[in-house]
Amino acid sequence: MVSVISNVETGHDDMIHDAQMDYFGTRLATCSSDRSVRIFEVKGTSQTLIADLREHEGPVWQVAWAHPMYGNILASCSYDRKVIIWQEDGHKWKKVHEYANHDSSVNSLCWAPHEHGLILACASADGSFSVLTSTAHTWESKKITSAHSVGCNAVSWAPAVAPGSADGTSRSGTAVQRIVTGGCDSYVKIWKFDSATGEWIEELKLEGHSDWVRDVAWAPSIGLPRSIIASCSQDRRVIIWTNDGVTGVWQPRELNTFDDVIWHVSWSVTGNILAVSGGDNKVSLWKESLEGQWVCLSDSAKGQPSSEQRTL
Amino acid sequence: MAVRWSSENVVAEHRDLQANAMALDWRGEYTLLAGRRNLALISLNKPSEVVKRVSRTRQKYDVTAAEWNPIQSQGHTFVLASGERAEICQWTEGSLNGTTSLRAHTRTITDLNWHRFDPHVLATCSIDTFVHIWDTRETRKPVASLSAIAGASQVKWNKLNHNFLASGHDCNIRVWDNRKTSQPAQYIAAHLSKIQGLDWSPNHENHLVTSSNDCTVKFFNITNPRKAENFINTLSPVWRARYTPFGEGVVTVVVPQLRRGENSLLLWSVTDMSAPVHTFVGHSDVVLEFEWRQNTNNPGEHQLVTWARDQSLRIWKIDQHLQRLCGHDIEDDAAFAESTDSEFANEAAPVQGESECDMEKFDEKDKTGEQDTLDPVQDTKQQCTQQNAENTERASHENSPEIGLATSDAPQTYDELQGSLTNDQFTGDTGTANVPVLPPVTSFLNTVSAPIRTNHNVVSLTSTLPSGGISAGQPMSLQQEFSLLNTSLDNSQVNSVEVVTEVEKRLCQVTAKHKNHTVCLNINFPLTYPRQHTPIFRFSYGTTIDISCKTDLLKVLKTTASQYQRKHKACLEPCIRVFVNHLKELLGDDRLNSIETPLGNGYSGQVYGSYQDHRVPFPRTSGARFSSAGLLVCFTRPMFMKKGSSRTESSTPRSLSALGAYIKNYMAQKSSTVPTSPKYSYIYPALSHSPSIEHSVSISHYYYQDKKFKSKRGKNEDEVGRSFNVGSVLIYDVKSLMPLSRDLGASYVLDENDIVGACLHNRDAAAAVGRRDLVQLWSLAAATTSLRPGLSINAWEYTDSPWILHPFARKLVNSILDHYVTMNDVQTVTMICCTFGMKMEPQNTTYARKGRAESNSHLLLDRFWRKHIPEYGSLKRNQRQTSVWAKLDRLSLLRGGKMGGSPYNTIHCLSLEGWDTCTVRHNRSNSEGSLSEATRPQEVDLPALESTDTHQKNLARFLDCNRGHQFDEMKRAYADILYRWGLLQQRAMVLKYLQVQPPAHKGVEFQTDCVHCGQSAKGPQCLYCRRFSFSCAICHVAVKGASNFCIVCGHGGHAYHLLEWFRDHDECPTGCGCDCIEEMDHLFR
Repeated sequence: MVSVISNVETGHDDMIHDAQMDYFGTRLATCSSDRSVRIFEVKGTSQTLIADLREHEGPVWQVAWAHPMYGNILASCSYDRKVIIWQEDGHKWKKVHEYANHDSSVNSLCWAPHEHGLILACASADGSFSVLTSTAHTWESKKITSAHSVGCNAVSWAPAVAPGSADGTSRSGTAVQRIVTGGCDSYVKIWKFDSATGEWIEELKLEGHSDWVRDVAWAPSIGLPRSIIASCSQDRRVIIWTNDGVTGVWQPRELNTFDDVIWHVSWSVTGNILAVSGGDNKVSLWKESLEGQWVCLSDSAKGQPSSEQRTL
Repeated sequence: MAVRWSSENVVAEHRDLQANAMALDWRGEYTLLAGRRNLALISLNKPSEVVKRVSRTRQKYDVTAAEWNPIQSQGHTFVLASGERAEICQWTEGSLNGTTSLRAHTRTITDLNWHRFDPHVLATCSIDTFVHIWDTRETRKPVASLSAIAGASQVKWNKLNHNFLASGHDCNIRVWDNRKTSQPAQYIAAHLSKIQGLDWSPNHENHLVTSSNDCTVKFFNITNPRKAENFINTLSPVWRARYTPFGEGVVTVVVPQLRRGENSLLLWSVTDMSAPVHTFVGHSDVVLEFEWRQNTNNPGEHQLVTWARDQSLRIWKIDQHLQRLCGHDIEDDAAFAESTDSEFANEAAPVQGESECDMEKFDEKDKTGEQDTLDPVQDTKQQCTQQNAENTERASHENSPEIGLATSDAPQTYDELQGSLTNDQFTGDTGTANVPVLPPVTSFLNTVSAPIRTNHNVVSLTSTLPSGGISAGQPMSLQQEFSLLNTSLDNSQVNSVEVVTEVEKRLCQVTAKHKNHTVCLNINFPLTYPRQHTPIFRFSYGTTIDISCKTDLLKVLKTTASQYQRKHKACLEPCIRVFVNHLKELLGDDRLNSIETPLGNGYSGQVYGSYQDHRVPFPRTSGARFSSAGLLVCFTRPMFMKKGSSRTESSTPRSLSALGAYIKNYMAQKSSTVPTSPKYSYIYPALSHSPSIEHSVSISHYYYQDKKFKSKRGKNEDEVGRSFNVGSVLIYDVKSLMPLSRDLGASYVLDENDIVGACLHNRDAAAAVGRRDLVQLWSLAAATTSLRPGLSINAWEYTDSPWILHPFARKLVNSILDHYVTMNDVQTVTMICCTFGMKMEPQNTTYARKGRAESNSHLLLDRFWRKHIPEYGSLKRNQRQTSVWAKLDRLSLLRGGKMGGSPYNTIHCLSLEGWDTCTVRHNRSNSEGSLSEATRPQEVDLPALESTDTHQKNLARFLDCNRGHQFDEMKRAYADILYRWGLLQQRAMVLKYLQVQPPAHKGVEFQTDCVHCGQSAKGPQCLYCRRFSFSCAICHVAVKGASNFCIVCGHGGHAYHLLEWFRDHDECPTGCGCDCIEEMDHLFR
């Protein structure tokens, strides 16, 4: 049964644009048009505000928690063209890095799998995306320009286990770093880090959407050779791209055409459930059946948690 | 406000025509009405009579567009679009003849347009996304094809520049250059919905107006495609918006089909977008087409000819009053027309005809323009060198008296002018002020070699050029006036004034900024200025003051200008002064203060509305994210917020730029308290204000707020009010949807010694959480492992093949695994894998060192020493001996088979509640053989044991060894989830079953041996004797934090103490005789 654990009154002065729990599910970070990022400690049904971070000068679009092995680190991106990385120091949250090398709003950001190190990718409306790598005392950035014409809307990391190395053979060195991005040119692009040259190269361009791609999400790996990417778009469709790991071909499958623009896709931790949310204020959960069909588990009209009483 | 009166008009009904399209010929004498069945020609002098009527036989398609050739030489030609074809027809001597048809489009043609200057060129556009350009003399295929992605709805040639045309595709405009057809010259993301109408300005080459289904009419300057210059909001989709041929007006028609109630035509003035200046009332159904004509009898009068679905043709008179409302000044116009004519006469080739030579004129003008622009560049180069030196002298000698007067009056000014206008050469050539006609433009402004020579002169001078200075005799030429322009203004009055003069266009642009307001004033100088006419003042786009202020300013300006004009004096400078002063007075007024909020300092992009908004995706206001393991975080809009109700399309806009437009819409409709003044002129009207004011822009404004929203619970009123715009964040537990369960994760056990027991335990655990499939699974697992041939391979007596090959063994397990893998159930898969898998021993097995007593804390370094330091033994004989002894001790323990004595057994140091595995296990292979093998002391080595292990494992393997790596990944994934759940011990347990252990820690690892019991201990407390394992050699207190050792003698203690000690000493503090500093030095060298 799906049940509400906690109902967090955020106290933001304006629309919330993102909310994410940390790795352990104990802390909630929210960001809003009121330019602030707030962090809550959620225990059971109660929550306490532990930080209200106000360094951004524009609406904050997205937040992302880093893996806890690097400490309590949160990144946020904003309309003000900045990415700010926050760290908890003692009980104080402080800005530890600010990245302002984009020419337009930074729309999305995603931490790399912890196996690669403390690395953050962020996508901007100037059409580029950046990869920020934490080194001993500083952050190195690499900006990949002209990734998408008009603008880059979403970025997501591939899990650290690349499909090629999960076929049962020996683990060949470190996993390849891959990133998937989606942009205003309606493409979903897969980028691969070429460790020889130290450059990000465009590996594949997936065509399927007919309007802006709003979000992409690479499904977490549980050791299967196949890779899955979900992408959603202004064209009200969600496409599931599947790569069986053998042929290397990404097969698109349209999940559904929705009533309104789809803004966000999110995979569960095991990668078997996809949460789809969009402009109509609704969330639907999708799961792949044993026959390989994607079926809708529930439509939640939000704000009415009672209607979400569904059993699997 | 608009007065709705029915202006004097002519009505003629033609019910039988069923016409869809209407077109007027170039003179406005005939109108063509075209429908699916009929073509009819009507003389507008007798609009009720049909001059000629032709029936279109066997026509499948309606006529979608029709247009007469606008050029006199081909004025008898018109074109009709019907289906995929365009037909060119001629009206000659009373008969209508179809001549040619243009076929290239593959879908219905939506619009067509004749070239404004070339009578043979025609553009057509269609839903098939193409815009074709045709030459009517060669009709087999288009001269050029412009390809776009979306279907085209409109195509229009520029009315002033013969190279440009614009086409509307869905929500976007493409501006094309005829000479480069491969891609658009400009791309404007204009609207949020389909563009229905497009029209170029008759006055400005770069201006166009669009109308769209999104209920807006937008004015664009194609040089700035990011932002509309101006816009009109209506309540319904707009079918057409076209400029008026007079003044700066626009006529709009709402989209047919949708709003039957509103059939009115609206006339707007560009200067005030808040309300139409006139509404044409009369048509009982939607207006399909309208065109302009000049009244042949009364040249000053324009007429609007409309054709509506009510099948009536109406002619509306636009009298001078209406024209004036549109900013058309009859007198100015006359003056200006005169001046332009004479300008052409002077500059261009002789005028041949009235209208037919439009194009030639244009060409000529272009050419002369080019010459003008090219020559000076060359001139300048020469003149620069020659004349620079003599400039000053020549200027003073050769300048006309007026100039001479001016300069002598204010020599300082002149010098400064020279300085500020860096390269401005004031040569004798231009100083010939007596020449009444515009002298050839030469090196007057050689700073700019671009076609438009501008002279930026940001006013900062303090000295004055007395306006009375220009007093006597002939007026000076425009260049002189421009060059001498010295608007020495007190900067404290107005924030900034910028004056840009363009001699060639006889134009001066004044931009004044004061208290958040920008006022852009264009001053046009007729050729007859200043002798006969005053300049023409117009406010241009970007002006933020309201209409009453504008009127005030214009009045003052005109008065001033005419005063000077009467004396035939140049009036630019005094006008600018008056303008600035008056502006200051106006803006100082209280009525403007109310809407003025100082712009926030600092970051300019702090509010929405930057020019790049069109590429920023529309913000998410709701969403759901999986977080951690089994949580779904949802954030939503509050329930009372709905999408704006005025919106016509169903889906949410894609980019942030939509926000501004909607807010504007929303504000205009919802609220009368919106500041009225800056409402027009900017597409993001409220955006320039500080976000703190009430109408600051926020994404929440996009959503219609139920105004009845009130808290029913009084007690929560404050709270609700505070978070009015914010929904709450809901955290859902979606565990039930996940294949995993935390409860199971906590209660599952793995017990290598009692696999059956573990399976049964797990079965009970599964039953407890209600997973019946898992109950079944664990029962099966218990059943199949109970026959596991580990104890004796030969236990299976009935057949030679081992149990492992039985369908109920490996096959069963593997099919179960396959099933749960497809379900992404890593928990079950991992547990099965571990149950049937082999635990891998960590390589750095801890040594059991029972029975060994040491007085001091001890470092276990044997292996390290053996590997790296051969001379170790000689250094520390005693120590070495101890190690050897220890080894022997271990062997003896092993030989004796004492419990816990084997160095190769893992001791579980974890005291677990749920796991109960804190035992020292025996041999994992359960075979007697390994013990007997171990009796040979020399071969008690890891490899020997491993070989037996491998053998055993292969026999016992239920799992497919090829999938080992895959299962490892799953174990890691599950371990990660266990970590998220905080089940650290379970996680450690699972990780022990990894087939490929993570690479062992490379480098030296130190370990302490307990002071009391001699067991090697990790951490400060010995797990065996429960006492602190390690005390400081200096203070003899247990060490818990930072510590330091001598790796030679093994003594050490608190890092601070040792640091202090070794500051003064070299030898070990215990007195063991070790010269720690030197020994260490030696060691690492």
